[in-house]
Amino acid sequence: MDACMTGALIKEDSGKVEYYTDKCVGCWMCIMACPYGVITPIPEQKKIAKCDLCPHLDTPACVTHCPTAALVYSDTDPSLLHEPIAITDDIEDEPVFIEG
Amino acid sequence: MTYVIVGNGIAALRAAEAIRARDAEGTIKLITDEAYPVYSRPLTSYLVAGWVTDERMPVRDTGHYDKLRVDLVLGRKAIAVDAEAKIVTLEGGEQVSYDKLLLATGAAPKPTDIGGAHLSGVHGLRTWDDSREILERLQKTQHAVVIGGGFVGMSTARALLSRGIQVTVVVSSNRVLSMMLPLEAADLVRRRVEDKGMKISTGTDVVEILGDDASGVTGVKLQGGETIKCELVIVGKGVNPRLDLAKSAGLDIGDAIWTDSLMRTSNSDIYAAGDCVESFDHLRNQRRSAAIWPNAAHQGRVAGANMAGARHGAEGFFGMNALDFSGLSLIAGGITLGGEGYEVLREQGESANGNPWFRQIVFDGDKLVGFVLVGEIKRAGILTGLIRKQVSCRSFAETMLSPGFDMMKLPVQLRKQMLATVNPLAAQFSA
Repeated sequence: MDACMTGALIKEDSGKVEYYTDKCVGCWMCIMACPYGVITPIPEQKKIAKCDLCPHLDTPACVTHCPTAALVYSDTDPSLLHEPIAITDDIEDEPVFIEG
Repeated sequence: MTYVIVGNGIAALRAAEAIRARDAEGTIKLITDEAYPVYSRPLTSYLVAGWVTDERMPVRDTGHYDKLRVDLVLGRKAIAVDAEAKIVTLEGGEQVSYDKLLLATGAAPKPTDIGGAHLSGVHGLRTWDDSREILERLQKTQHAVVIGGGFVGMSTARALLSRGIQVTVVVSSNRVLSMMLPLEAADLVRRRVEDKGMKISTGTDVVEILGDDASGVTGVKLQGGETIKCELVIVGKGVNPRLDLAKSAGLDIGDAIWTDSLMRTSNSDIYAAGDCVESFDHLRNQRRSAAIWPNAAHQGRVAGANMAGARHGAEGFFGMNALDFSGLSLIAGGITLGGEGYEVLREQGESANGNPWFRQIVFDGDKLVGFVLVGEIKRAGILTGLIRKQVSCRSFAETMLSPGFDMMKLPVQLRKQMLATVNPLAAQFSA
């Protein structure tokens, strides 16, 4: 969501990353950013595709169909849904600049 | 608590959002010299191309600032900061007090000393207003010259070409996108755009812009004496961070405003984020400017959170970018060109659709520090993540050279680690 330059990808409060296809211009910055590689380019349309958690279903389709329960849809700790940023408890009170 | 933000780019917006998320009561004032709500700077060349219209420019819906309860001061320039008294002075004399201040003043195109640059029809492309002025000039433009083969130059050239304008890009170095791409990759791009009718002149410079006050620019003269006829000149020769306020506040400045990992400046009540900042580059282990949209967004978010009482550390920052030229996509990031002390691996091939592809990865010992992907860009972000987290990954480097590289090429322990940061259940399931 940091990388998206049009506001097409936004992390909602629920933690879900929502995709607004009308805003997308197919610049591929999200593909560059997603560390799991889950964004797919659709070059012919200049749009992207990503999992939307099947908002029209109770449970995502892939989970319902998985015969071995390899796919599990679960609630996770909400505090983990927003990108963990390094907590720096040992940071000085005054700014410290790296020499370089 | 009064938070004042100077600037209206993505860093300023994300900071305002982060502050409001932590502080429901504080006053947030956002002061900008532009007259627009926060918009996508990278989309300015799309506006020139006609690929988007004005309504697509804002990155949030109207009413967003109202929802955030941000006091917006549009079209007013902040001209001084008194860091002792904690006051920002605006053009016209108005004074604004702050408890915490964020400087998100961005950057501006480097001024050019080429003769004739004052003529009408000579433009940089940085702001929404720039796009509008260029669009006006397009009405009398058949030929355009773009000075500079970097990201802005090539994006603008791409936009003008799509309008049916004859475009020549004049590049000082031996190749386009020279900051980002090695020669082999740059030449793939060059061949594609030349196929589409763009002219590229490398190894030369514009020494004079020709024309008169009546018609504006009529042409340019190159180093070797040749002239190119044109009615529009785009100058894409880099930007300078806007440092007036930082200087006024007496902050420590290198090439840009120094910030620590909390995005604080040398004054702990003043934060800075975005293109005006020198942040920590953990790949090169030095302070460096990495002025791109995603970094500005991240820095703004961290700065805002910390202004409102958090203690979040920003990660190290590095440059990266994504482009597409008539179906030839490219994504590059980190230390892309290698150099002394780095190991460079590369591979090329041809895709099913006949497009050439090229991949280059750069290692500093065991750690990935850079990559260039041309033609096959799927899942590039996995590489970005490996760089960002400084993962020891030389052991599976060869898998990265194939377009099929995906998460399954990562060792299972690494994959589990990555997933465990968002879902502790992941650790419980075996591969």
